[in-house]
Amino acid sequence: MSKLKVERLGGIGGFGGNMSHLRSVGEVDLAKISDEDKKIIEALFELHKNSGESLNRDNFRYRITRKTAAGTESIEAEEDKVPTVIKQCVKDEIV
Amino acid sequence: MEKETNHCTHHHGECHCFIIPVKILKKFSKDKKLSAKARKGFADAARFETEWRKAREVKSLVTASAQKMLPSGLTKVPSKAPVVSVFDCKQHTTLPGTPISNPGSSTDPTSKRTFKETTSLAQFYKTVFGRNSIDNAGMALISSIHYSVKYNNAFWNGDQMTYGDGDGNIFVDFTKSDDVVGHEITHGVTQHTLGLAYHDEPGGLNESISDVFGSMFRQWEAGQDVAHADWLIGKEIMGPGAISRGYTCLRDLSNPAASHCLSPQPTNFSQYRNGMDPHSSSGIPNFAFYKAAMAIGGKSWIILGKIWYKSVTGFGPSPNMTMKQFANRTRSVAGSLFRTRPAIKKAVDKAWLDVGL
Ligand SMILES: [Zn+2]
Repeated sequence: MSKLKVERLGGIGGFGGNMSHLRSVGEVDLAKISDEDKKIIEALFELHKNSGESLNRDNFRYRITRKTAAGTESIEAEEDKVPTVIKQCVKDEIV
Repeated sequence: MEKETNHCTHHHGECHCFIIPVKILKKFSKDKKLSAKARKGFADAARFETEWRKAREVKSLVTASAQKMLPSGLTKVPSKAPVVSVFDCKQHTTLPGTPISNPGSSTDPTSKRTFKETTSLAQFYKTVFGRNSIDNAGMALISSIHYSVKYNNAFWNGDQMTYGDGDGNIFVDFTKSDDVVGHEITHGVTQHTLGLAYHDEPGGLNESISDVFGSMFRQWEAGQDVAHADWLIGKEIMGPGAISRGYTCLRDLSNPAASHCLSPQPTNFSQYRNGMDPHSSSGIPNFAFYKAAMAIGGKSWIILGKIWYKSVTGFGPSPNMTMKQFANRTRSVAGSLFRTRPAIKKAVDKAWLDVGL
């Protein structure tokens, strides 16, 4: 529950694609982030199902995974919807 | 659909930019657990969204009524080249950033290059396809450079292009490849024409159209025929860490699955799966374009480019178009545009059959 797993996806390079050599992953410790960031992340999990498609193209998306009592839950959110703490936790690598 | 808004709060000297629905902004603005400053920020953002939406609605109404005012029979207003402007984000993430007054003669090579390539791309669309900018109505071409810190990406946000500097290891400055500039601007053209969605098959087509026109622009700038073109996407944005491992590009239209690509792609529709990243599935139509171009020969933009352009721009929006539907459209456009040269339609047909479509 205390940590979020984050993966940066897409971009013009296609990070995280199944044949891609570009990967970008990281973690966020919920105990170390502000209440505001927590609220925003909570809202992303609440809302992801009915968020419409934007006109962003080649924008990074972030897959955010959390563990709850009910199990593991993942959402994907566009870069301009996630707080900086999520964007900055990942490290781009060639794998 | 949920209304969305841009909301920025500034603290610790950073800009936190994100888009969240208005009802959540309103909820946050009343949340007593948040600081008074943060609550006010959310309330302001909710009000801003309402005004911003109104402004956007007026903008589209003006465009529609301006079109109605054209004298009958006149389909195009005599037009000047679109305004090309470049903004400097100075490593922040607020768009568009600070305007650069004379971007074409700036001492910043990124500014100079962005201005030059964007202007050249407008000429490419104008002289080859008769298109006046992204919307075919002279829309200003706005680019933001030096976006964020060590940012490994370039993107189109529905209104403008944005380029990162790269981290200096995997990637360098994203304005360095002319095909990347062409790729991003073409996302705008697709938005204003086919209006393709960005997931599954239409998403892969959307990406492919950007790669195809980006690659054609690269060939047009170099004056290359199909045999001399390198067909690479992102060759000049590869950083030392990528080059030392043998990677020469993001993608290669002539060999989408090649090991020298940072992001190899499927080459046949039998490998397609729903949910694939569009930057992956685009390999299938990319390969079809390459195969048809090689079969036809000469310069890609002269014959095949016109077939692709008409297929993208000539039939109105089709947001959920499948790859097969697009393939069939190019077959029929090839037949109608080049009625007296059946070999061209044959080449298009065979290229699509070769990739399983
Ligand atoms: Zn793209």
